[in-house]
Amino acid sequence: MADIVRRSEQYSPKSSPRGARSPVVPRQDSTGTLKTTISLGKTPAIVHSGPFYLMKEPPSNTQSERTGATNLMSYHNLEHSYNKFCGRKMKDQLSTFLPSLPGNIDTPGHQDNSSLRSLIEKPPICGKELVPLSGVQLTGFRLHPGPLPEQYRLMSHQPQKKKHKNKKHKHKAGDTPSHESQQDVSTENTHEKKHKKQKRHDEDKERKKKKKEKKKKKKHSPEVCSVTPNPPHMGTPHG
Amino acid sequence: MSSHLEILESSLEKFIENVRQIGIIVGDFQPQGQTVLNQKINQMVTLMQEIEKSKCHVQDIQVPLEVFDYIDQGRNPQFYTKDCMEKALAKNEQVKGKIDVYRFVFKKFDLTLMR
Repeated sequence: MADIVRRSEQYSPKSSPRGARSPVVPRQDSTGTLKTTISLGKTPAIVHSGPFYLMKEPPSNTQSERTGATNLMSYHNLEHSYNKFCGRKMKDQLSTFLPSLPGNIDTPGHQDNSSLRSLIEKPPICGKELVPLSGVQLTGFRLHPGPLPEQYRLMSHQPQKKKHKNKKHKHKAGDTPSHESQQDVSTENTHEKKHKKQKRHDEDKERKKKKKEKKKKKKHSPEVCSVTPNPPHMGTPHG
Repeated sequence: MSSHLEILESSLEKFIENVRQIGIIVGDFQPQGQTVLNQKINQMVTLMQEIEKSKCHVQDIQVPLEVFDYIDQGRNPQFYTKDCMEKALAKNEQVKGKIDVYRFVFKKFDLTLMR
């Protein structure tokens, strides 16, 4: 039998059966497992002392080491946060996160060119000093009195928060309630109300016109004309 | 840090409110509202100065770009946090499952070799 040399030296990847892939890690001897040692010639070669490579036990310091098997939520004390975000029902709209902001903020940013991405891709000119405007500069902000044209009125476009509980029963079978349809409904309702107002104004004007025309017709009616006597016709003799 | 964020938040809210009021004044402008409008415009400039002053206190805060996508879509940014946590939990469970399977296989292999 060859001399059994047990050495606890450093292991070289070259002598390992797996070649360069074996890690240089001090290996622990485990009792009851198969142990073999190989000595090669006079010159001492790096040998394996201990069990087979595949029989070696993995490092047992799992308590302190963080692996994929550990519960990362409890490890980082995120259980409360997880329950807060995933346990409760949250509305998906931006207005629920920022309720104090005016206007309709639930629409996509690319529609009205107010997206944050465009701000990152094309940053505005900044770095200049901010100075309050002087009196001469403020003269440029003199405005004409009167209302703005309707096409420039953006402040009136606010979402109307309606309670859809009662109105769900009134929907037809083909309607499918969803967030997008609710937003569309809200915007459509504002437009519809405006159109209705305009229609009412138009209808009122038409009624007034009709009343005036009726009054004019009454003045020129045959009853009025009968007051003035017509001259007798020199009719042809009958017979 | 939380106080600086609160200060920035309040400054932004004041700025937005000021701009909203300017919009109301301009929507149906009256001549007697010119002085108020001028005051509001200068107030807007001072609020922008306040926001710029608080910029240096929040420069170390990092915001993931994916949150901006949620905001641009009109979605609640807290859903980004929720989605991240759910993905992390799912990946954690997946990796734990793999590790458990490898341990089971290792023990079985150990037993068969011992025989």
